[in-house]
Amino acid sequence: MTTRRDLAPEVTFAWWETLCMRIGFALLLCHEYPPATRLPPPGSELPFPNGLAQWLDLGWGLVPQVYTGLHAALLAAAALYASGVAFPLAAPLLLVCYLVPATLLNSSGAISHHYQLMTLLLLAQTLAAWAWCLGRGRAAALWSSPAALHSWTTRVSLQVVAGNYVLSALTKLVATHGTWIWATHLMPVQFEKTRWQLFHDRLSMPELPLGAALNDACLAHPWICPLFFGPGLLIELFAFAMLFGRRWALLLGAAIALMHELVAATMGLFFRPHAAIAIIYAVNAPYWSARATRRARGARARTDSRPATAYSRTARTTRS
Amino acid sequence: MVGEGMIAHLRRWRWFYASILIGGLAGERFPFSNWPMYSSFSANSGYVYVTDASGAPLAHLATFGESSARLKKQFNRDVGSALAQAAPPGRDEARRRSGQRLLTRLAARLTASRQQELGGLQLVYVTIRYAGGGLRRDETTVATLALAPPGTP
Repeated sequence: MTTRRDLAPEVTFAWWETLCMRIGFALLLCHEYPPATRLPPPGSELPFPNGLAQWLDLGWGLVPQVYTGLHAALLAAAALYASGVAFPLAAPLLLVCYLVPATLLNSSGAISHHYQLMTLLLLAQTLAAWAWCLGRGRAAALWSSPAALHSWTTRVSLQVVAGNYVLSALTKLVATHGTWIWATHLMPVQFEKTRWQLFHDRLSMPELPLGAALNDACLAHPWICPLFFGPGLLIELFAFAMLFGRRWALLLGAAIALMHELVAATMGLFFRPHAAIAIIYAVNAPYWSARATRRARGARARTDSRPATAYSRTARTTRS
Repeated sequence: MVGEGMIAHLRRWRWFYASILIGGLAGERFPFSNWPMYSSFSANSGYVYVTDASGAPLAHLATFGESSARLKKQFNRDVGSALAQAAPPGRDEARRRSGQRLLTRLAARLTASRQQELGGLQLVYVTIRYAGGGLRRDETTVATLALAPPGTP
């Protein structure tokens, strides 16, 4: 009989799965690090301090030498993080390296959501790792960081990813009093705005053939918008299903990655870190690859050990 | 039994529920967010762009290291903050002042020679709205900033 507990089984991730995830996430962090050219010049005022900058003066983070130091520390911490050794120390170091420049970027009055999920995951992994080590008297694990710790922080990461997607859906529903799907019939205005914003970024009109076709169709037939954009809201709202087990995580992770790809193809809005995180933690390709390989080997072994049939005896005779 | 099951569930999914709760309460406080982008829609929208003194548009990323989306957010945030004051200026005046502040910050990112080359900056606000079965764009220059004219040491 299926119990309530069985609906959300606690997945134990193998050491090699979490190793692949750490390598993937570390590469993502290195690749997406805020470039120095995007930061305000040294000594600039921060007109709208955000997050930590509301309480602490982070202006020192704009000094080029500090940025260089943080970038170097990020690369070293990412290597340590990927190795899995001293995880409770590597994760907070990465967190600080991301928190400072991304907070400064978000303190100019424009909140960019590019770095949020990556930084949130680092924060959650830091807290989860320290709680796991200290809460159960496993101080030695601070250095050795066993597979059980990595399995635990991976489960926490999945919960944080799922929670934030569900929150995104709830915000849409609250802001529109539950009518978000229907309100998407006004999306063409947003598409036009985004298209021109992208033009002024580089003074060249972005190539979005799929988006242009969709927009023309939405202008002519507004009912198409809810059909196209509605599933996105449902994917976000039901993102919690990725906590139901590996198959659900694969399904939801692939759906989220596909959703971001479609948004990029139609609106030119890229959420690559979000799609990458869904692929790394939820899709978990190494597990499914290993499982498929194991099954194929098992099937081959069963075929080899099966008693020879009249057909196979004939085939062998013919070959010889 | 149900109560125990619920407590066990909340304990096992505590990071999930905490993410929703903290993000919802914190709002836009980095690294937390309630993810408000595209959460609501209106029949019109807008964006800003920057030109040189002659009115020729500038490539935002190459010139200022900022995207158009971020420039619009900075401008709107500043206008919103001005209008929320106890004695707010008129909407046009708030836009002019916010535009001026934004252009001043952007000019600080330019080298002296680039400033001389451009001669000045202008901030243009574009409104997009439905009109006649299609979309219409209306442009307004909301602020101008004179930079050192060519030849000025």
